[in-house]
Amino acid sequence: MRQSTFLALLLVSLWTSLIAFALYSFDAHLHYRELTWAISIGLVLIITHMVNMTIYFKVRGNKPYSWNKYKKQFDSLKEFSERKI
Amino acid sequence: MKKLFVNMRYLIVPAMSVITILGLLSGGNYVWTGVILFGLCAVIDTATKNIHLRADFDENGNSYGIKFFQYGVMYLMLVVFIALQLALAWKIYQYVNVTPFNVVNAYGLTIQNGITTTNLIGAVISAGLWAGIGIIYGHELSHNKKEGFFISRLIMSLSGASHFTYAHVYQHHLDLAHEDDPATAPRGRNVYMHTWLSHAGQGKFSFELEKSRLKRQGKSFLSLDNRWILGYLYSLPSIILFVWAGGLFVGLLALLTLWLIANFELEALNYMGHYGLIREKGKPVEYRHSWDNDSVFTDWFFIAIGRQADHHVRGETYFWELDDVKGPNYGIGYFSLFLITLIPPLFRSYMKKHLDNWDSKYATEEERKIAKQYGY
Amino acid sequence: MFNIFKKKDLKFNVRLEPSNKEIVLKAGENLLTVALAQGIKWPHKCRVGSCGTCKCKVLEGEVKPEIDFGNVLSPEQIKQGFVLACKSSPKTNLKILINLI
Repeated sequence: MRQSTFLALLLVSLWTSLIAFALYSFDAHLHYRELTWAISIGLVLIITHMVNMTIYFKVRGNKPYSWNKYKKQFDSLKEFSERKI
Repeated sequence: MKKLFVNMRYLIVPAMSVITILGLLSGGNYVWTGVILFGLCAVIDTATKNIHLRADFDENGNSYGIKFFQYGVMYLMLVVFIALQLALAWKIYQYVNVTPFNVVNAYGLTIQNGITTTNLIGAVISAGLWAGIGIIYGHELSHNKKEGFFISRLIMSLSGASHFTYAHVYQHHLDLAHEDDPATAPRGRNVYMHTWLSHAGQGKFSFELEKSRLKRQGKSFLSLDNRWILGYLYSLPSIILFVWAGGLFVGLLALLTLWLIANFELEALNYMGHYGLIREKGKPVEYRHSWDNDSVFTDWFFIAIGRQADHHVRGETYFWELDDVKGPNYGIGYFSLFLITLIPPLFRSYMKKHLDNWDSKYATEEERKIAKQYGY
Repeated sequence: MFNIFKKKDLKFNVRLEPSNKEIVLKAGENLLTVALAQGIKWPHKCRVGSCGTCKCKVLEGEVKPEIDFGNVLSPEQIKQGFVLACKSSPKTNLKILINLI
């Protein structure tokens, strides 16, 4: 696994776990049926998601979208020239 | 009569979405209605794969499509997709509350209260499959003026993908079939990886677009002027609904599953629309840079989204006027192709002859040179 | 959305400067589409209002925008009367400044 992938996954996991722990600590899982709690939890969750996406964008940059990894590694010039085009 | 037929034939999705909602409301095994309908569509699509029709115009060259009617339907679909989420949330509520099983009659419907775990899974999958089909309206309206564009943002926000509306118009249509377009899948990428990369890539585009726009305007990134942030805020009602209905485990899990299915369908459409096609940077987008899937059922069900070749060259054209332009064509409909994409080695094997054909008959010399670097 | 009430056979003259060419559009017809169909070499690329290549200046008359031009054109350009031809239809007769290819 690439270093930046590992770092992104680590940071996202840490951040999400922190939020999950915070929600649990505040007994959010017991109060969700109260509307103000539901709205607050919703806000916390969407902010968590936005932060996670930002972490991914910053840490991974443009690397994931590169087509280079799909380029065929030709074993020999013969195989290259035998491509049916 | 012809005018009526041309306009009514695009109502397959609205009709089936409403039936899915009724299935969810009816409860019991009826919650699987959405899944069954999806399967039925796959059968019909496969059976009619060899029927291809052209766009319909009268003897004066005028289209039979009624803009007011078609746009009215598209705007109404936002309400339908909201109702879909409400119906699912209601079943989740009953599950978490352990509502006793009983049968009531209300508004002409026989409603089975209470829901088993298996049926809850069926309800979520049913809702997810039809929520994902919302992309066709989100897509069409993204090419429209303020109110249509806004409705597109809201429809896509129901699946947590509000960024699509900007990324599709301002990135995909410009960078199509090039590495700069995350929605174009290169040869060798499978649909699962593409789902994540296309979703994240388009989100990143929207993020960067707002970052530079707000900087130019001297405004803070962290503000309600930020359309990337606004897009996620449009998804807030869905999150609140499912959290309230089902809590932090069942409710949230159901919502995430719904979003996963819906986004998978959205990105699968992008995947199928441009897989493996190549355009040199800076060169104009032409018919050959998109795959067409325009068998009759695909065309009517997906409101001509399968006519990608014409759409990308004549982006200003209403969907009912898009035509067969003899671009590269898979020869089968979207449902059939979608099932093939689910098994990546099968898809790559299926694509070999299509890509070889594209390379030899459609690609320019430069595009062929680029294609040679890739497998299938 | 309420175009259904407008007379569909309403026609508008569109004069292009400095080439002095003239085209006729019906109500609701797309400016770029009709121009290209009549062989006018109007610069264009994306045709969905995202690249700005087809932008032109409305010297006289009014167009109906099909999308928000503000995503591509600056506020100054919009104030000066620039529009995107691929996402415009005529509301009145028009005189347009466009450097054809």
